[in-house]
Amino acid sequence: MFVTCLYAVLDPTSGRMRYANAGHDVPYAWSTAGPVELRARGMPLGLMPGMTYEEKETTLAPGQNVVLYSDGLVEAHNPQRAMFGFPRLKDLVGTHPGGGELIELLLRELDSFTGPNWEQEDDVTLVILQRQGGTVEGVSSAVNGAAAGERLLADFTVRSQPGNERLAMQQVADAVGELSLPPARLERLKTAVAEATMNAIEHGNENRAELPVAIRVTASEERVAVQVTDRGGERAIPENPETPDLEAKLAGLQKPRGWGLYVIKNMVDEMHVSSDSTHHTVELVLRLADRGEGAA
Amino acid sequence: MRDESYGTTFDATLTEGGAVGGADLGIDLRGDIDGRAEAALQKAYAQAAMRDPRRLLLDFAAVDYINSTGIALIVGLLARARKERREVMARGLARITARSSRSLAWLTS
Repeated sequence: MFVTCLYAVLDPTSGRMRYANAGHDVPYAWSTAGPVELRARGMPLGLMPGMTYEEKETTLAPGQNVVLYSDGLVEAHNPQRAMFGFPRLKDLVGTHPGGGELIELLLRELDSFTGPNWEQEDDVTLVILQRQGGTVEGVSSAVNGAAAGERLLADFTVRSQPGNERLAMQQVADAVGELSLPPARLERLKTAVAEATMNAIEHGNENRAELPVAIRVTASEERVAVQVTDRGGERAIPENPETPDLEAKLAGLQKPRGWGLYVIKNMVDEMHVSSDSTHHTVELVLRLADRGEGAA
Repeated sequence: MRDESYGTTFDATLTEGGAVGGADLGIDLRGDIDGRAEAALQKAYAQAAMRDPRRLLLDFAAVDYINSTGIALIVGLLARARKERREVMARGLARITARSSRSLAWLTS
């Protein structure tokens, strides 16, 4: 028995992705020259003992996509026993800008190809990986240090002293003033920025005043993003914090603290956490398409 | 790097709270409730507890800002009051929730 496997390690801060492939279908990455295959040599796992696997590397630019998929897509047959195949997938990928809508397109195409009486032959798994925002060293399309399509609104640091989250909050509020966010949305962003900065000061930088918390604000047509970076390094930040149990806290069964990440996550549309060996970055995103007050 | 640090002002003072909601005693909170408010808040509660009120009113009307650490301080105070079988009421939250955080609205809903 053997299995195929694609194993990739992505650094969301830099966009660097290292990958190895054990006989799995080759992912496609978007490029100006069309879809390119991310190839790496390796036999399926379990097929032969002592195999070694080639490790390759690529760097995703802001906005760049990678599509990963299982063979149930490309090996699906139509009633005439023709296969969906790689060329058809590559063509579809090449004509689409990427993002989650590509999954819907591919599933529609698969459905159309196989017809209504198709009995699914294998699992059909589709994953679109799309890099958002951030900066990539050496990306020529970067403007003022912001990613392509994004404007840099502010880039500053504060010292790691209690209370400086208020400075950060006010500077971010000033920076996004030109976006005319609805007041309630602005308040939510400010609260999230203050909480993220406070975490960075207390937990990431352990209240060591000399360590900076770096704050960077960018905006595009679609969103405003605030990145808060500390020197916390390898101490993990949970991206999906547990909901605090108020009753347990009131009953003295849990400590009263533990609200910060929960508050942040409920204040913004997206929260992303990334780390490298020396830094943590929490990215807070408000989508500008939704300029309404939003649900609580 | 911004070189200054952000100052804070917070104080908590006891008031006779009988006029509101049947409270025996009140604590007026004023300023910013963040980590630096802890000592003043604890002191005010301890002073209130010495008078052993059954019903205690927390007045947030003059609070300008509260963060997650401030929420934790209030939750800690509520936990202590529950243990001591005191009922705690709150007023003046609407202004805070409109201005700086909805977090307390969740706590009191």
